[in-house]
Amino acid sequence: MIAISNVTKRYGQVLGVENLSIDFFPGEIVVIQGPTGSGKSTLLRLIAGLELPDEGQISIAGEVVSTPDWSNSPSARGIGIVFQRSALWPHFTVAQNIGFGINGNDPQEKTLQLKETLRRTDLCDLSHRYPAQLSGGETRRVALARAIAAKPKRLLLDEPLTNQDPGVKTKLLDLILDYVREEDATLLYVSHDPDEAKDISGRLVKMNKGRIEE
Amino acid sequence: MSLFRSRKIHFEQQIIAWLLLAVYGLVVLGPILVLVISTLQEVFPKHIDWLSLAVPSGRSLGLLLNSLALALAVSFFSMLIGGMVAVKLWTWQSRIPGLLIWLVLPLAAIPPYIYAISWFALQDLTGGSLDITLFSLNRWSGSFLVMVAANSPITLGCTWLGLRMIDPGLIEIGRTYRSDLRVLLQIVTPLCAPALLTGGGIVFLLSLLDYSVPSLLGLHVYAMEIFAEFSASSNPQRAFLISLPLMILAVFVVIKLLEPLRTLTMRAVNSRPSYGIRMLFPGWFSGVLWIGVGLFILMTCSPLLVAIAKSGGFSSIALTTGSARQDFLYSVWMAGIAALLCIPLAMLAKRFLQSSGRSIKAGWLLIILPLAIPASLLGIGFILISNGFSQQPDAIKDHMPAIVQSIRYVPLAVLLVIAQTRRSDPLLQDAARVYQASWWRRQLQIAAPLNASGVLAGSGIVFALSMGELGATMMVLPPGRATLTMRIYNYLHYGASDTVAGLILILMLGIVLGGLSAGIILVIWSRLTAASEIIR
Repeated sequence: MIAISNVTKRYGQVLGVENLSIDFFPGEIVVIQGPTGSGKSTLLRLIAGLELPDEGQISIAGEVVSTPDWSNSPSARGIGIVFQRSALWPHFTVAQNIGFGINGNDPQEKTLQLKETLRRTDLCDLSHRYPAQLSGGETRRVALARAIAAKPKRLLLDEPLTNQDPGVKTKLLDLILDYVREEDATLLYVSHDPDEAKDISGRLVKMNKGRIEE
Repeated sequence: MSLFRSRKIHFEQQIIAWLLLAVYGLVVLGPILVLVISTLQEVFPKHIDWLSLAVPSGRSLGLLLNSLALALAVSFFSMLIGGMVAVKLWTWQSRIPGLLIWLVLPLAAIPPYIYAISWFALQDLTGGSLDITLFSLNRWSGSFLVMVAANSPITLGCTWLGLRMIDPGLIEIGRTYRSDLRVLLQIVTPLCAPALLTGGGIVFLLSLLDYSVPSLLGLHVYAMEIFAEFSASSNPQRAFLISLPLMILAVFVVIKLLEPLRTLTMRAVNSRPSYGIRMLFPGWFSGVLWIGVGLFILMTCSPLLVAIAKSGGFSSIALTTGSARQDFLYSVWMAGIAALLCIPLAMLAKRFLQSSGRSIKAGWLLIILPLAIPASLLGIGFILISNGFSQQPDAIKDHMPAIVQSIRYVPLAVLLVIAQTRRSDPLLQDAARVYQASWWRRQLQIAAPLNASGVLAGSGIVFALSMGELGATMMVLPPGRATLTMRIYNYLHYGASDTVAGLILILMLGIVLGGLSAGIILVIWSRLTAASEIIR
């Protein structure tokens, strides 16, 4: 479970989230909606360990991972994340981008996991290409593949399908939902699009001015 | 019909851009072109045997290899130390690094031979006993240490810029999968590599072409051969032929630098920090970074500390200043003229680089090519040109140092002007074109203020560097005149005396003030005229 307790985050004078408390349960699918600046992305960044809360604390699987004074490493939280932009490392190939997130000491096992992810995301043919050689839809697919490669139990997606064609959108959404069901993962999905929220059909959390409205 | 007209306009614009570039090339590369032509005329009818001067063998080959090894070692260690300090500043989550960097960057304009004063002071302090220790300090290692100290601020500046250009998202994503150290090594370092290598490349060029430090410390390098040959034979053509192997190497490096330099100039710097939570590294790695920072502070601050310690107090400095007043004023005057002269040249080059075309890369190469010319050769080229005029007005003779200084450093002014232009919002100029038909009013009221910070920063850097220029100035200085740098350089041959310490303090003050004011102007003005959105 991801437990957010009385968390506040400010960026100077700008409010990120204010006194926010919410729990996300294992295997739960949650769609977070709200206008620009409502604190959706800040919430995901706090859970991922990319920001330190000013007040409150965050726990994952019963263990406190963030307080105003302390935060454990983002890489130790067992999460996969996709931002609004694909953020693929330009000096890595598709396979290297995806493989970077796979942990473990056994190289054979890591290779198997990489191959499985490539197959699952239909990226086998593109594995040797660099990000600059991919289309917009393909880069999103690689970003998603990277997020799920290490089989995280928590998937944080910040408007991952923005600016995608309807066909690509449907395919990628199926990919995400299949993964979540197969791995019984928690999905936190930030979206602007009401139709997308309907397609995902999970718990709807509406945010405004750094707080949860409903 | 309209398609034909637009093609014609495009063609005309291309022609104008190339004509402007030709004017730039003629002025900046004129001395070398004259040397090439006169060498061809001299060699082929009568002195074919001189061609052997251009092929290093025996002693000259040894010197070339020695210079190459020194330049490689200096650039590698400057990259290492500058890189470590840049990473330390970058991972320090505070506004202080942003301010500190503006204090450190002007140090890059301090001429390398100034740093030799620390070396001489160290020798005085140890009474030469260091020579018999395990870390025997000889001429080579002395030159190496002095040049690393002088050039580390350059690599620090370039690496800092490169780190600030990395998309924060790429780092954040990496941190969700791996430790901060692995993110630094596997993601940040490769992404920053072009900037780091640009710094290393510039340092390599400067070290390869510099003879001031090695000659002070009694080390023979290839760049010194050009000066020595000209002094011995007074023959510009022989000096040019000797310089060819060095220039070929330098041009090769300039070609390799072209792409990373363009990237550094054209890309935007992120205004927001690259990460929300401070990066945490293992203790041993933090220790290594701190060692780098310590070395950097020790090396870059030592000339200032030695100069203060040796100068003998305010009364002594005042006395030294009084005796060097004429030289100081002449140096400031020359540097000021050089800074002014570089403005029209930089604007010519900027006009070309703003045009689009297939040959833009060739234009870039032509613009930064002066960086590959040894300073003494530039001076020799000018002497050759001035010899062509039987009667030369005294005013021209007196200002020759300013002309060569301006030509030496104009590529840096161009890079700053271009970088600033790229960072200002193009819509501001487009809007002016819609609302104001008069070209002159647009230039005066819109373009000039928008370009002002780049021009001022470019002039500032040319001023700071010209204050310390030695290699070319020395060749073209009129009789009875001396610059402050020449006086310091001559005194330095006798060690770290109180006179040289006082002069160094004055020079450092002039350079740091020039560099610092250029930086402050650039920052303030860039904020005022910044694009509303980052332009990529």
